[in-house]
Amino acid sequence: MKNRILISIILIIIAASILGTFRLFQASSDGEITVILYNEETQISETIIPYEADDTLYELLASNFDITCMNASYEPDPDCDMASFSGISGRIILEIDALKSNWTDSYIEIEINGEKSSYGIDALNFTDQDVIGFRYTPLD
Amino acid sequence: METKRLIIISLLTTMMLVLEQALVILPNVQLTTLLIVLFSVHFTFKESLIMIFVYVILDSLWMGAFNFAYIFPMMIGWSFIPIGIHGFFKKPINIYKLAAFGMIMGFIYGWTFIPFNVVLTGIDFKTYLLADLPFQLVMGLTNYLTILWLYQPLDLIYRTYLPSRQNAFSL
Repeated sequence: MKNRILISIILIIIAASILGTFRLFQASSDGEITVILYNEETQISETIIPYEADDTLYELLASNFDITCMNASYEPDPDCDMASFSGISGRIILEIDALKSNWTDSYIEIEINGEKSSYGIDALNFTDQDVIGFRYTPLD
Repeated sequence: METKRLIIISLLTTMMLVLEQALVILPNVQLTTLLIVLFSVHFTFKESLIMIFVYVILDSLWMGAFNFAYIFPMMIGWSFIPIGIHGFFKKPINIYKLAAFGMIMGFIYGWTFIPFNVVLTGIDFKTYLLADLPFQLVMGLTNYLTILWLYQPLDLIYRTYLPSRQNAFSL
């Protein structure tokens, strides 16, 4: 029993230490990005957001816009907690200010410098002067 | 397969799905690995694979992700557990080795998704690997701790209330 308790405590401490240092996709230096919101083809806002080293794109969005994510049950989650989607973990943005998608017949597409992003909000790396677009996109 | 055994398998698979959904708000924190390990020990390799197959199909239907890019890696990932249990463990099973096996399975399960997601989304292999590592670590740790602390009590309950097969492993 003592061994189990000891091993459990040691493992939790090691894992917490590793997870504490794991902050991926942070900015490596200070700068600013431009965030543009589109309703399909119509641009509805353009916001320049300064950032500091170690900021993440999610943190910048959360502090500058009203956002709602999707939880693992595919329902809106205003707290934007991390969720696991059949093995893929991260956040899916459902709403940003006036852009409101529901995942059933619409979604919000992420673009970086005019190109569709291959990465989600938690995996998208950005650098100074990048233009990040969020486009309400209906499903055909 | 006996009808009674088939019903037991159905109920245990349902239990697996319900417990997974109960913890779905915590990414990669689950009792699924513990239960698949327990069931793999008590059921034949073939029966274990049937349970995994049904579980993955139900899970995919329930979660709305009935996509072969997820179903295949899930089936492959979970199937490594009965393969490991029936292929490499000798009885009596050492609980620490079983817990370590569960931890390794946490990482292997995550890795099985990589090739499918790289092909499906075009995401960079290294980026995906690094981004998923913290979640694999959480799953590995959860697996280790749940097997270490809960496997033996559950094993005792199983042996008390449910029939064992003759060649069942024992601790």
